[in-house]
Amino acid sequence: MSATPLSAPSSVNALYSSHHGWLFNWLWRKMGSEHDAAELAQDTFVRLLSAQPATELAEPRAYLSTVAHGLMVNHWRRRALERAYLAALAARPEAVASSPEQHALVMETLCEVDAMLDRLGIKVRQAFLLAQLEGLTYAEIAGRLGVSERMIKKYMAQAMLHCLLITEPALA
Amino acid sequence: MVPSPSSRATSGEPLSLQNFAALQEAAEWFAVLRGDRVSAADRRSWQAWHDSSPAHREAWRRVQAISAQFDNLPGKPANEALALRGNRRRHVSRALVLLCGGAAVGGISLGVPPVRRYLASLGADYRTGVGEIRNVELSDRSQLWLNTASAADVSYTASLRRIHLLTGEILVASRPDARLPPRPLVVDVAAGRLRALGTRYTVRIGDHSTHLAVLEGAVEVVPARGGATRIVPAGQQLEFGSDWLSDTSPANADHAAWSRNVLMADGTTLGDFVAELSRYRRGYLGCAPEVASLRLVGVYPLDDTDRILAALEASLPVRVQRTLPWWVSIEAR
Repeated sequence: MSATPLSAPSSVNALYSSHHGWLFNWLWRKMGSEHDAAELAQDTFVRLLSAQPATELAEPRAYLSTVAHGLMVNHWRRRALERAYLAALAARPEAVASSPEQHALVMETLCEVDAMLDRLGIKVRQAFLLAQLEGLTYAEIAGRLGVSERMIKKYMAQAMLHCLLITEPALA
Repeated sequence: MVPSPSSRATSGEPLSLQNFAALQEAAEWFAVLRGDRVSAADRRSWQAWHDSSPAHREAWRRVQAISAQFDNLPGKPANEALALRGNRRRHVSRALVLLCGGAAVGGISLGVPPVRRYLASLGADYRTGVGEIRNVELSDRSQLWLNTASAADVSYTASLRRIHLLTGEILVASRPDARLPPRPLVVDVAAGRLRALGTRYTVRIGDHSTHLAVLEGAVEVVPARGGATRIVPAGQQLEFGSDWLSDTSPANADHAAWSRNVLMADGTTLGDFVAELSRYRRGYLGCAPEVASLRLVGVYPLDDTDRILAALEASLPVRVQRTLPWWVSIEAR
């Protein structure tokens, strides 16, 4: 069995010319936006170029749609987060002005934090965010969440360990 | 994400037990120092911990890097946005559970026990999905952890503290009852009753038997259909059914590693490891016989099982074959 390394530009080229049109259509049907579909189709191939060679692609379209699906989920997630953030800003009494660059930086960090805290239990997540973002004391957080202060301390350690493991270079 | 000028292990190598311990301690120190009442003595002992090893310093540097990420966010709006997202996810997963429930009802005519157990678990007080691990503090401050795909009912009455394990696996860390006279704490499974004698232990329902591992204290096992009972002391484990008990054998603390969201391998064979890992994933996860006897050591966070697979690929002569997104097998490279 001769394995074609996936990362070789020539094989990505070949994949691109035979499957790009198909992938674009696949994404377009799912997303309903030509612009988003074109962008994510592009991102999918960029992802392939930077990926480490895995194995020969027996089912290139299955592989492409798996990668594209992951990107699509991230895209929606990012958009939902951005909407939620803008809604929260709009509800503030004081005007908050920031440059497009600052906004992009905040969104970047928000997405990273959201991804990092994904899978944490809801209370652990809430406790950690109330402490880290709103600077509440453990006693205040305990009051809000209806659990003991001792529990909040446990939640904080649990959340931090979770973040440490998620970002652990040895596990990347 | 967090830039890490770490000089440590190359990527893909499993985290060593020692470095895992450093991270765990760093997280605990973070929780202490972020707390409301930090004493000078706390700070001194943190300093001593910090200075005592390069692994501690590195772990603490990473705690600070993670913490610093939050400083760059506008606190309240960022928290509101993230909270909304958190709630949204909850709703989605609940809807999915209900959908699955509907599907399971369609299959009930098969009458297979796992389906029945699953249906019973739908109305349970506490339940986890595949890959989810949950910690609950009970009203007497006893702690209950539910492992992946597990369900339990909890009912405390005037005379009994009862946890009914319907499916899956739990870890119980019991506390003496504050009431007088103290009520016994029991775990009921189909195969029998387990009575805690001041203790920490795991109970896991398998296809053909129930497994008990006692980490602290002791537990009395009473099979449902009578016969011998047995007291299992700390450090021992056994299997039992409704009318039988196996001999006890030594158990190690790894049995409770999942309650800290990690899977431990300490010379475990790849076959056993993969069987365990498959409990945390949907779909099929298998291991080819020619690599099943390879051994591995390490601590693997359960948050992202795909990353565990990637780590296996990086550290063993195996490759992960993804025939379909939900059909994954580990084969010789």
